[in-house]
Amino acid sequence: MAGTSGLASGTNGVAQLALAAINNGTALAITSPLRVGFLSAVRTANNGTDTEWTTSGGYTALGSSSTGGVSGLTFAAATTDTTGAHQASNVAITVSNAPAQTWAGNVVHDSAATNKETWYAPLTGGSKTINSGDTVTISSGSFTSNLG
Amino acid sequence: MPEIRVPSQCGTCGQVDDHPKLHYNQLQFHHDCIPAFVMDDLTSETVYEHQDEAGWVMVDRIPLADEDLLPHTRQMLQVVKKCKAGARGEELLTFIRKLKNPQQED
Repeated sequence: MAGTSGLASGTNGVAQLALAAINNGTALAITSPLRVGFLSAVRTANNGTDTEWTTSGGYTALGSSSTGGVSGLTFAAATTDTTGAHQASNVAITVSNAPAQTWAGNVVHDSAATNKETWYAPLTGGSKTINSGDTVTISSGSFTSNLG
Repeated sequence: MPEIRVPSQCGTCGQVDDHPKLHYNQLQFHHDCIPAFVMDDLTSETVYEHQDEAGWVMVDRIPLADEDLLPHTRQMLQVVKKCKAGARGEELLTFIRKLKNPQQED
C-alpha cells in the first residue's frame, strides 16, 4: 500500500535522490550513524509528515541536523533471491526510560548536517501505549528493506 | 495532576500491572521476566537473509561485547539488574528516572 511504509520522498527524503543516483545522476551520500526516531503517528502518504515523540525522559527527538533519535542502526549485508535484493537490520534498537507516548512506528534519518530521511514504517501489529519509564525495543531484523 | 499509567500484561508471568516494562515489538515483559531469546536479541548482532521459500530467516547471531552495546542497551541492563535485585513498581521507576539520557552523550 503506497504511503504506509517505504523510502521517504518528503522534504529531505532520499527516494528521489536514490532514483537519481541509480539513473546515473548525482551520487547519493548517506552519513553515519543512522538514527531511529519514534513516532506517535505515522504519515499516510509517502511524502507526508509524521508526529514524533517529544524530547522527554530518555528520548531526544530528531533534530534537523545530526542530533536526536537513537543512533546506531546498522544492517547486515544485502542478499538476493528470485524476488530481488533484501537487507535487514542486524541490531536491536532500544530506548530506556521512554516518555509516556503512543508507539505507532519509526523513521530513520542519517547524520548529515542537514539530515536525510530514509525509511519510515508503522509498528507491525498496530500502535501500543507506552508508560513513562518503560523500555522500548525494536527487535533485530525488524527493519527489512527490499528492491526488485 | 497524577500520572496516568496504563496496565499491561507481562508476556512471561501473566501479571497485569502498571510497573515499568520492556516492550519488545508487540510483546512486553517485566524487566526481571525477559525471556532468554529476547535478551539474546538485545545483546547480539544478527544476520537475517531473505529466502525464496521461507522469507526472512535468521542465519547468524553473534553476542556483542559490553563495549559494543548501544548506550540505551547498556542502560536497559542496569534496569534489569535493579529489578532482579527486587526493585518493582515505584521504586524501580524512581531508579529509572534518575538515569541520565544516554542520547545526551552521543
